[in-house]
Amino acid sequence: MKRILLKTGISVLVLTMCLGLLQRLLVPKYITEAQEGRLIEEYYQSGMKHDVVFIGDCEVYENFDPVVLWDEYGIPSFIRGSPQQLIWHSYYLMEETLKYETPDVIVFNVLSMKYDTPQSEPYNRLTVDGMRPSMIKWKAAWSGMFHESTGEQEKESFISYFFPLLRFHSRWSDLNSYDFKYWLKDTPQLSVNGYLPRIDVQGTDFFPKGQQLADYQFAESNYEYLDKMTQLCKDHNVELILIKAPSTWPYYYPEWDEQMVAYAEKNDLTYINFLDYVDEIGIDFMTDTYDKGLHLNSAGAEKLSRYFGKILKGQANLPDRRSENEYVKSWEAIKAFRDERITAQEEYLKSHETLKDFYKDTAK
Amino acid sequence: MKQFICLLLTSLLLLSLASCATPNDGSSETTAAPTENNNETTPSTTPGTEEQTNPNQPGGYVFAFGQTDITVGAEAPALIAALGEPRNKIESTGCANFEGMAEIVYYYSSFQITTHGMNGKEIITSIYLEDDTVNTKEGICIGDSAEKVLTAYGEKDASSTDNNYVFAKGDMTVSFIITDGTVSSILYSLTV
Repeated sequence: MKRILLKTGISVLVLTMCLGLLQRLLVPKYITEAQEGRLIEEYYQSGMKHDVVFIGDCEVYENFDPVVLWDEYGIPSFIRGSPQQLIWHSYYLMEETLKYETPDVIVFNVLSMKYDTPQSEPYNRLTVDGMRPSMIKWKAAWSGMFHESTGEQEKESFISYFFPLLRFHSRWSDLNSYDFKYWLKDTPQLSVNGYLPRIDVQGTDFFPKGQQLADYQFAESNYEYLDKMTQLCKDHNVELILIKAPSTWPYYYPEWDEQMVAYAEKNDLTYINFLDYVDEIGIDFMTDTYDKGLHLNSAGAEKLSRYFGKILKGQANLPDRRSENEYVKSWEAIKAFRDERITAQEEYLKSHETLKDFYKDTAK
Repeated sequence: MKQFICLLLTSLLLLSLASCATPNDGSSETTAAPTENNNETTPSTTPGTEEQTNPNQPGGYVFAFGQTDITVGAEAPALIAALGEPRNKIESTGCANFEGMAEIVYYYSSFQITTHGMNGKEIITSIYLEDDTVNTKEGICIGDSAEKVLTAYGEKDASSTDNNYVFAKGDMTVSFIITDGTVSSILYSLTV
């Protein structure tokens, strides 16, 4: 009997290991496409000693440069951003962050208030798959399963967030060299503390207006998540700052801005719509954007970060940690990595018009 | 016992490699994904994963501009070429660098056309009329009365509200925002 149990146990263990290895092989590494899929997991290697954590979509990870906040204000920060991050995912990322550290400030970009239903399963996975296994991760995955406003269930497989092999098994016919290269080791560092710099320039003098909507009211379910964020930060004595990054598109309606102003007033929060301060920040959409105003390039991000850093210092009374030894060495390395990225992009632009394929072409 | 375990292992490995009908099974590093949904009224599904709508599907509402009939669900390039150079254009590849999944908004003198990448093709997903110099094929333009809309289109779709009249046909809708009793916005949308 004992022998049978032992054999069975060993067999199960071997089976589990085989499936685990297979899963690790088949899960996308996000090297040549959708590199942003690696952003969420990079937080876990960051040391988790940040006074400011940004949470949100590409309007945070493309528009704020943590090195500027460090260099000019001594503020250590991290950007927990991911593509089209939905508010329910943002809430759980916030909850998870507070398990690892307690920053003085959490900054949340409110554009995701416009999405009351899951938009895209691949985009959802870029956020959730990168999270470490935990009850919070499963809650984040589960939160995307339902259209809260309609009560309909999204056609996603919740179990596949436990076992990604169920989702990605068909990739066996599309495996590339990077799948094998990073089968058993971590993918190379992508971001600068969650920031993805772009130095190229594609300006615009076109500022489109949005199409008229039948209803500008943000969904009740989204307000519930915003309430949860507000409460979570209160419970942990963290200042929550709501922002809207300065982008020309998607159009941010005045009716949306009014709702956020009202929410911030009601909950005693700071809300900054940076679109109102473009001139003061010094942003020039002819030179400070790489995609005609949808996102800032590194020049624009530097200006915005410099402007926001002053607000953070004044408002949250954050300490200047530039003389604190435990931060200095790591931030020297972070800055060196950013500068290396920028140099590589400068080199790349000598033979390419844009950096659209930079990460793909320079994948290692 | 050994044979049973071997059989079980093999079966499980084969099962994990078999194709199943998951909603977004694709062939790239990830599956195709849309760009950021910049328009509240654009389709709720995931472009790039669904069957392309037959642009000539009988019964779909058509927007005509000059000699050009434009339908949502149609492939964009030929129609855009027929319409000529837009006065402006916004191209968004979305937050993530997914191949071929751009959302493009073409701005013409009095209307906008939005397209999305779907299954490797650029498909028209919405048409938005901006002013009263253009009208629907049923003769409705901005400024017309709500009653005229109902006369032209008949019964509203169940998704209509007091200020948003929606009429569905096939895989698309045409919707009219009514402000103070008159049409203030007209939008054709793909719904698949």
